[in-house]
Amino acid sequence: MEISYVVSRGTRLNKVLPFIFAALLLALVALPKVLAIPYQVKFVQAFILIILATMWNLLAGFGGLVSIGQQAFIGIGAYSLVYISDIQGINPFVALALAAVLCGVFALPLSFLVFRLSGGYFAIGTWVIAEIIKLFVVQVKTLGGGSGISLGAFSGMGRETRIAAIYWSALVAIFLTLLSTILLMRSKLGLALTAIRDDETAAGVLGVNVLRNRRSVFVMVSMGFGLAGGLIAMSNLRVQPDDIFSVNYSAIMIFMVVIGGLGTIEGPIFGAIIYYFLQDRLKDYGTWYLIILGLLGIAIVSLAPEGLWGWISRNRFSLFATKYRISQMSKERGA
Amino acid sequence: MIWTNAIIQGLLTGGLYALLACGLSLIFGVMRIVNLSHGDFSILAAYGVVALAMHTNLILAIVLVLPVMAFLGYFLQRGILNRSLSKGALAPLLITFAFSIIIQNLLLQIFSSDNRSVQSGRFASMSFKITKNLQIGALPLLTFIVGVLLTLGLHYFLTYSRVGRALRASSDDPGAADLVGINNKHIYGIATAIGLFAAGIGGVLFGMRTQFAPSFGPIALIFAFESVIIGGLGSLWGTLIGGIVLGIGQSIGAQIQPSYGVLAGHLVFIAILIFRPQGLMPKQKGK
Amino acid sequence: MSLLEVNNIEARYGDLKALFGISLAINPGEVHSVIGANGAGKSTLLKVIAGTLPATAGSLTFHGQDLAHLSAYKRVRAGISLVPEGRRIFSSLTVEENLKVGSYSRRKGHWNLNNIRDLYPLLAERWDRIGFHCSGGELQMLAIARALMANPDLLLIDEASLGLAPVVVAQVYASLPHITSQGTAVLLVEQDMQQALRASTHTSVLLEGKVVLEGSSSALNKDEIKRAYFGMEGRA
Repeated sequence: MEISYVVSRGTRLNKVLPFIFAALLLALVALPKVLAIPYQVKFVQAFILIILATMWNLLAGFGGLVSIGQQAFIGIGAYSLVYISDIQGINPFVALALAAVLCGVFALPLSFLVFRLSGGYFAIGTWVIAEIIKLFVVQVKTLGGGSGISLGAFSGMGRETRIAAIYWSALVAIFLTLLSTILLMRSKLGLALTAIRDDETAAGVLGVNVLRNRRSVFVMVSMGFGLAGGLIAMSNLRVQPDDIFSVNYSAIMIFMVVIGGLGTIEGPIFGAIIYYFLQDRLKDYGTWYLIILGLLGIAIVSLAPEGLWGWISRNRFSLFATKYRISQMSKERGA
Repeated sequence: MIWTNAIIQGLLTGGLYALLACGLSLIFGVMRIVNLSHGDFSILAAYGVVALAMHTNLILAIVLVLPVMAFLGYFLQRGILNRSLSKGALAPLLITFAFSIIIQNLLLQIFSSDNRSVQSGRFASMSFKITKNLQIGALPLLTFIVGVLLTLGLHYFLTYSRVGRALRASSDDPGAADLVGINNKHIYGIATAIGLFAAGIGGVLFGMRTQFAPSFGPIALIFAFESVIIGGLGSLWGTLIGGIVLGIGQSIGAQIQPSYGVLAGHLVFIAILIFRPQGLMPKQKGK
Repeated sequence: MSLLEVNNIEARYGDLKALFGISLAINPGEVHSVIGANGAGKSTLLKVIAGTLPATAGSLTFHGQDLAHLSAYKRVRAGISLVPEGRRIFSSLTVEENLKVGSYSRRKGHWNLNNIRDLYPLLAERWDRIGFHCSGGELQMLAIARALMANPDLLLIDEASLGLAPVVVAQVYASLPHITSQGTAVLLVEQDMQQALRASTHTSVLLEGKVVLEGSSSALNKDEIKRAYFGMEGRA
């Protein structure tokens, strides 16, 4: 009996899953018709967390760029949304898209600056950039200075309509970020990124332009962070510099990604959902809640560095067929 | 005259930044770990002194706290961080970030978010009059002297002592260090012990000069980080120079408008990153 | 009882098995050479003895003590020093500092900075040069000298002549008798068969992870060695 090998992206599971996802999406679209407003708000929060985790994972898990300064783009996204919709008078949903684009425009020149640092110093470098942007924003009177600015664009809209509209925006945003992440990972860029992550030097020698690929990811995820920032501004109806540029966002994103599983698409989603329920349960404990998160993070990194998703799936299956895998099959069965 | 004054005050503050930074630089130099909780350990030491000084005198409190910082560094390195070194560059970063969050929130839980300071009594307000308009505070001067002495001490330790040489050997090639009988894990523990000891000194002097709260760790880390990058990675004297340049930058900025101080320091950092990314005093090749 | 006894050692790199039951014994003051083609497992054997690669089977005893659970840095303290492949000199340390680091384990004995100057006068001339700026020959001498600073009872040398000019190789080999005269045993891995036979008292020939020929260096037949080296015993 001869043994041959088959290279494929998914397992049999991945043939059924698209239908399940489509059904799930339809259900989510219809949700505001059946669900009370407080629950819709909770969904928006969860969506934002998933976007943040997915973007941070794309940056660190696939791009190899560990940043603790992505709150810079959350902040830029939030302030851009308020500025474009309130001060320029553009429809807030169009403004949301523009805010994301604006973040990409900011990210490109900034990448030339922070890419001069590597490893841990890159991490702090991005953080300094976020601090600098905050210090500048605080100086700008039109943006409310240190006390922040309220979003007035929804003032004519009823609460129910507003929340549902924000819910759908968040749904579109999460759909787009997840879809583009999956498509990205199936593209040539995704392949290049995986190669860089596995062995930067080898990838470089084989002709992968490490710097340019990383820059593309940096700009892309910054747009995702901008989208999340805009959504945060929409759901809070207010932006304050110390909150929106807080390094706590980085702490939360890292926690979600690490606990779920770095370098997989499913892991961060999983991690975000776990985090959402943890914070819901533990937030009454105040500071102890963050201490527990910290200890949990250390335990996961030390004991199960592949994260909970990695631990569950053991690399046997994936929900989004992005990885190539080799399977053995005998000639008789394969033919 | 105002400007001379600003420059001198900035120079003295630079000594403080060097104290906050030299441990960060050492830990990175030996293990390639960027300790994201470095500033929090500084603040932790300051709180330790505040708590002890309620029961005893300040000097004794400092003498007690600093060795505790060193022990803490050694055991955190050997107990937790050493294990993460083999798991890629991300793991130690995540763990030190988690340390940062844990320390901040423990301090918040114990001491609340109220501002504190390390009370040094009359010493805090003593100063020497140089000219009619120029005064040098005793405390900033002490900070500067301690900063220079610590840099000098570390330099001699690394150059001439048995363990110091082992630290440099381990930094060059841990595998070869293993082959000459050096236990890298122990050496890493010592590096972190020294790093946190230095962070502690910086934190206590910081706390004597200004009020602080549990959330001040990150800003201490950022100043330390900027000093390291401005000075040039891997160079101890560079870190001192970097601290001084940052201090002077901030103090000139604050002279223009008080709220510009920190921003001006950041801009010096950005300027270095653009025009001289290797820093002012980079490590020589192979050295 | 021999200084070092290697009994049926096996070792692997991941799924790849490299050593298939190697045995040999070394006595104090002896030079034992291990020769063999590329990939025969010579360097692997040294790594296992030095403790940088674990043995998957078999036993190692040194001074009658089992080495199994002794990590590499502890074996240096016990008296085994390895001069590694590629020399691995600390590039930011000067020649003098490299030597001082060599004595980190604080073992007492003949070798100190002064005696090293006498052994390798060339190093004495380069005393303050940093490792990064040393030539290949200087690095090789420094690597041996650094290992000697630990005053080992057993010195393991991996490919002493690799990439060096013949003059330098001669100098390195000329220093061996000085080393063994202190009672130190030397285990030498060498690709240059002639050189190895001349310098050693005993020789083992490795082929594909096994010892295929062993004996006193002067008594071994040249043709026999060649056949063993290339694995042609069947055709002889």
